[in-house]
Amino acid sequence: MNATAHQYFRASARAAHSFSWDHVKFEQQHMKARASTIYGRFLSRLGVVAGAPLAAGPAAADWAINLQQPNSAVAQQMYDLHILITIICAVIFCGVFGVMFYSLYAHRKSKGHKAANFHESTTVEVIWTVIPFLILLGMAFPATKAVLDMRDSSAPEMTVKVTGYQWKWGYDYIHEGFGFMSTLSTPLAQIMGQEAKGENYLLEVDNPMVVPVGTKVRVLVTANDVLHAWWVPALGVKQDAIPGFVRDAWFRADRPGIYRGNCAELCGKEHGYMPIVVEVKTKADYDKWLAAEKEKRGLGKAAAAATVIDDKVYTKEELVAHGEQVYQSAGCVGCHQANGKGAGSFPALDGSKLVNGPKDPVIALLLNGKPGTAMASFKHLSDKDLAAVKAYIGASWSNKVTDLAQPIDFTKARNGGQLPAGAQTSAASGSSSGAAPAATAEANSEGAPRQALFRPRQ
Amino acid sequence: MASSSNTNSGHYFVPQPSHWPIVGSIALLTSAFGAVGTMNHFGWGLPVLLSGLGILVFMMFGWFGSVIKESEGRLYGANVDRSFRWSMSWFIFSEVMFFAAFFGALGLARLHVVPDLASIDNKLLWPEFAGTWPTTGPYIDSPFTPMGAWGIPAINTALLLTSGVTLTIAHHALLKNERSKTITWLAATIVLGLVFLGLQVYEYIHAYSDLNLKLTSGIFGSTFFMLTGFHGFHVTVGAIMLAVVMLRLMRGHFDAKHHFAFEAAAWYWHFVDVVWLGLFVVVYMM
Amino acid sequence: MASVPHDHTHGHGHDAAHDHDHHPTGIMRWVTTTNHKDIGTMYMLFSFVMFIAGGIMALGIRAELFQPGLQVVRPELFNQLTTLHGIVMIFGAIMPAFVGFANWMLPLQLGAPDMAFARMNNWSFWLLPPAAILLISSFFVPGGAAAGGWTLYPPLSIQSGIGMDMMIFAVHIMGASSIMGSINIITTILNMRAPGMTLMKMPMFAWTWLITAFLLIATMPVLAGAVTMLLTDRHFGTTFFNAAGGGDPVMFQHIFWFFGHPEVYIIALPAFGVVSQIIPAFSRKPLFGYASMVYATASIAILSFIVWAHHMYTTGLPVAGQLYFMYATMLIAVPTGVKVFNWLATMWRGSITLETPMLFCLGFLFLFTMGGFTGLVLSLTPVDIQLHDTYYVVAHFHYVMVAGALFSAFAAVYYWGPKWTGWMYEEKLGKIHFWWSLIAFNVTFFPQHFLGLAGMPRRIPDYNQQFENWNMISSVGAFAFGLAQVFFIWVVWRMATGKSGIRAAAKPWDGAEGLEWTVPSPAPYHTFETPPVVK
Ligand code: HEA
Ligand code: HEA
Ligand code: HEC
Ligand code: CUA
Ligand SMILES: [Cu+2]
Repeated sequence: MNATAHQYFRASARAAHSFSWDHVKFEQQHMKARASTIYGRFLSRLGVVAGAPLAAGPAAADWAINLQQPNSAVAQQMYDLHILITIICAVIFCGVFGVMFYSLYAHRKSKGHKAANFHESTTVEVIWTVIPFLILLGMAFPATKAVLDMRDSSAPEMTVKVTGYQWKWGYDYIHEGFGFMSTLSTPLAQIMGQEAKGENYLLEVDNPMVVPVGTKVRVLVTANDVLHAWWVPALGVKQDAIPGFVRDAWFRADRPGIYRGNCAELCGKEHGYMPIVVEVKTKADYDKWLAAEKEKRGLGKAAAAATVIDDKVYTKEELVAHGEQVYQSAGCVGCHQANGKGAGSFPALDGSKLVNGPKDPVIALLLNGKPGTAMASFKHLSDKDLAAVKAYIGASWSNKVTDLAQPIDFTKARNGGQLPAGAQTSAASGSSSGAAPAATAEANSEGAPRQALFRPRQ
Repeated sequence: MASSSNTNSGHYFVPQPSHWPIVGSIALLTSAFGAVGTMNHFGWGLPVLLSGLGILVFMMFGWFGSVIKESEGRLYGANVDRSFRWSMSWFIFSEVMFFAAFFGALGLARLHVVPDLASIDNKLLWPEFAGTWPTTGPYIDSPFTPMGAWGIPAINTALLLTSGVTLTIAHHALLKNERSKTITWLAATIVLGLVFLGLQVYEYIHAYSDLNLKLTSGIFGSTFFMLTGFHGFHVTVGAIMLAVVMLRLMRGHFDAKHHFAFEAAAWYWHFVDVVWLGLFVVVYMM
Repeated sequence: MASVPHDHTHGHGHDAAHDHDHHPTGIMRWVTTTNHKDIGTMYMLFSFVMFIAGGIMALGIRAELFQPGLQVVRPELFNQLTTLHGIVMIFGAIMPAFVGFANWMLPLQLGAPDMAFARMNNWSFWLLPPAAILLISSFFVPGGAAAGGWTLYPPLSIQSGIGMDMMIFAVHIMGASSIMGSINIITTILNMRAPGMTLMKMPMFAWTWLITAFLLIATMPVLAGAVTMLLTDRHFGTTFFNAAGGGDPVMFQHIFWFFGHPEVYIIALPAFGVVSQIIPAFSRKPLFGYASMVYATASIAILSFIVWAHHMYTTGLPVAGQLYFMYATMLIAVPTGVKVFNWLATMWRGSITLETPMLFCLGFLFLFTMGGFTGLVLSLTPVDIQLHDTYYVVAHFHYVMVAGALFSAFAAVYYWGPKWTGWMYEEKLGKIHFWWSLIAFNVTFFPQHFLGLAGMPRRIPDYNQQFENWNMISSVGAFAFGLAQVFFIWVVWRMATGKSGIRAAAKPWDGAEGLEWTVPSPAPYHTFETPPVVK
């Protein structure tokens, strides 16, 4: 395994995450040093078993043996149903194997037991067909009720669209007109064992989903590339995210707090690294959060409903400077490396014919990705981000691209070469040229699921 | 079921060690690697695939050759004959289940998936999709005309039904030991099969060049070509089986009592026939 | 490992076909053989090699999961290991093991000279090594082996590289092997029983195999169809599993599980058959409720076709679908329960001894039932919403497949091994193997229930520290379980080579019944060329 560590992880939000070969060497030495202590660690952990197996307190979660504490009525039902069924099964189990062990004890040959010779009885066969059937019937009642409750997503008080991407989640507050991406925020150094692991290791994200407490939230779950599953145990929701289809689920959180879950459907190499974090706030705090989010995106009360597009012409320098950030934060660096040389199956961008060629193929590649390879679509980025990263890779290392792309080129490419009907230009709406217009971002994320993967393959 | 008792009296023929199976395994291994190579555009792929298939054909000649020799040597008693009947029936059942997967896909797509994609649930993603059948799906924009049922497909249906009749006539002739009559009607069956195949090839060309109906035409194209394609492949195999039987008849093999190979090929042919009827109804008519 | 039966010592009258008895020798003997015992032996050896291969992959998985963080493998290799571990264990280890037992034992139990189609039988076996070559070599192609899980769900499996194509062709080849093997088994059972052996007098093992073979013939072609659609979606632009073209990724799941659920009973039923042979032998009492055992097995098989979507509760099935599949799935507990109760009633007031085969059967009974109960917990839709794709499921299916199928395979080896090799195993060693396996198995898989309940997803290489303790214990158990199997190799080696020093009588178990015990141990190369007459 000579692959570099950073091949596997997007550099995520922090620049500090970008690693180089040196880090890997360091990591290997580090691991050697650690290896000798693993055994000791294991023993000391076992010590905990001997000492206080089910003690409450911080260690309790480490020895958890049951479903997580429910935080919604549905999750509570699931919890209770599980307990009930487990107890019934345990009782039957003890009964059945009590009989078996008694028989093993009492009917041993060594005790001189002589074999009887009965081998048929319709009566008992009927009995042990009917009784289990009745028990099952008894189980089916509460289960049916729970199913009906769980699936009753009518009359939601708010709706959030959840989109699974390889390997992050997109949340669109579709009635509020904005959305954002939610990506693992655990630093790579923790994963590679170079830093102590934080408490929420692998269960923390940059932008959690935020919902108000006591509110019936309907989630519309879909995916952009492959199957994922949106799962928050404490809320009792697990719904597969299926590209091309929208499936719904709902929850109503009982208590404020932060609830964590994982993607629960194998979705490729970083399946283990796309957690879900839901922050349940009081209604007042939620409103504050909502207002701040809207503010941030220029979606003040008077914000235009029409699609706003960014048609400003940026200079190369502006774009390249911004593009360098995008190259880090969007994760390009994870595969194509900081030096642009790529690694393994990830091609070098430095000197790439495609990059150094005309702009349109590059625009197409960034928007659509290359199906069947790790090169995913980056359609979810704003047009400005895309134009910037295109400029950055075109101007870095030995590349000297002259065919600069502006955000508007991406806007057009998304719309089959035209501007979307009814669009307002950013100049007209007077929105600042700095941040990507929020409405565009929204339009993008709306359109996002229809992506390269859906294209018929050539 | 021919079950209860006494099914194994007398000696049962057990063949000698044979190298044909391992040749077959090598053939399939080679073909598999070749196919992987071909599909991933490696230059060596196609040659390897073809040589794998070549070895497979060689194996079949050899293996079936031994079977024919043993059969003509009258090594197969009544018991072995019964085994053959069981095995051919179960083999055909397995083929039925293979087609069931594709019919199932078609049924699921038509009855569930396409309406679902067009339903209110998925309006968010596919606002304009109407969900009518036939369809290329909500994203592929390449309209086609579906294949009408009453042109070539209807003729093909007639051809295959007729071939079932001619085959039965041939069988009755064989039961009366009328060899040349058997051969004639068998030949007629094969010709009908070949005409069927010819028309199907024509139909495919027509679909591609005139109707814009392609394998890539969404779920309709996928199910249409996969179902009719696998059926066509089975017709081809059936025709080869009948042809081999005919050659053997011409060489004087079989008589009114011993002709399981004939019957097996006939069963297979009827099975292919029935599949076609299913296809005609669900793919072309509905 | 198994001793080479003595070819030319058979004192039986040759018929015409056997007169020119010039069997090839050396390796070619095994390559060209048409003898069911040779082929059975090869199946078993192959299966064991695959078990070790799959086991090594499992150890790779467990080593990585020993603690949080990435230490041993990278995420993509981890996914490849998981995928290939599942496929190799199911298709390479468990299924061939039981086909091997069927090959060896069915003709002996039914009084037949060989399998119905001896030459095709050879091909059924010799198709497996090519499939294994495709699977194992796929680790070394660019992009590595298939990494979408053994369930091969698209679109992930459409996205992946060459390894997936190799997997698809391997599945085709293994499917062909299974179908041919099953046709052979069904035909042998239906057509080659000794005079007087009615269907309802057959040993239970033959019954379970008859039904299993039916399941295989009915479902393997469906799997073949499913992976064929994957292949054309991958390479020829069809859109079976792509919404853009009007297809649906979930459609694959429906088709896959229409195969996949019966498949789990394909694994379980022959194991039931073995247990139904062994428990009566060591209880010295006939099998209780033979007829209802047959009906229960058949009911399980039939039900298995109509419950598949219990693997898909989280896909967003319509409510009615969730409820229907929940009820249907729960129903399977009834016939399975009948089997469990019949086994108990067989032991009841018997005269029980606890030799190794019996111990493994009791281990099977105890742990399989536990796995069955966790299956029942999973069958309840609301609970499965929490537990789907967690380690609870992993624990469930290892209880039914490892402690179920694998333990009963061990039981079969100890029970019939003396017939195959002519030597007894050493009882003490066998017992050590049992207790070691039993304990290590539970150490490995029992904590996984807790992990799943607490929220650890399956198919992940890394996890939060809250799961660390149980994972560590599980990993230690896995290595201990692996070592127990090294020990098993040694025990069997000593038996097969006669190092145990105890010759096996024709009928080493005083309570055993059946035609297989009427021939000498080791069974001569050719048996029952003239069929025996039953009662
Ligand atoms: C040998 C293989 C085997 C067997 C026999 C079973 C048996 C059963 N399985 Fe299991 N199962 C698997 C192999 C097997 N399974 C595998 C491999 C998977 C995962 C696949 C994957 O995703 O990779 C799986 C997954 C799986 C799931 C999906 C979980 C998920 O992914 O979310 C479910 C859900 O319903 C399930 C249910 C059951 C049930 C109800 C039985 C029943 O047949 C059990 C019946 C037995 C008993 C109940 C015990 C004995 C009965 C009594 C003593 C009578 C009295 C009892 C009562 C009245 C309760 N199984
Ligand atoms: C019958 C089938 C079968 C069998 C026998 C096993 C056996 C084992 N499995 Fe199984 N497993 C599956 C079928 C099976 N598995 C399936 C279908 C999956 C799902 C795959 C998927 O998600 O797609 C799975 C998934 C699976 C996972 C989850 C992986 C994940 O989700 O990422 C884990 C993790 O612990 C695991 C562990 C084990 C272990 C420790 C054994 C042990 O019992 C193995 C013991 C054997 C050996 C260890 C080999 C023999 C000994 C040696 C080679 C000597 C060397 C050993 C030492 C020196 C110690 N398996
Ligand atoms: C998960 C890995 C990954 C990430 C992240 C990624 N790429 Fe790629 N990229 C690839 C792979 C793999 C290819 C090769 C595809 C192929 O086989 O043609 C590729 C190809 C390319 C090419 C074409 C190179 C050529 O010469 O053909 C460009 C340009 C490119 N990527 C740019 C980017 C940019 C810009 C980003 C970030 C916004 C990015 N990539 C993020 C994996 C990645
Ligand atoms: Cu996303 Cu797993
Ligand atoms: Cu199942």
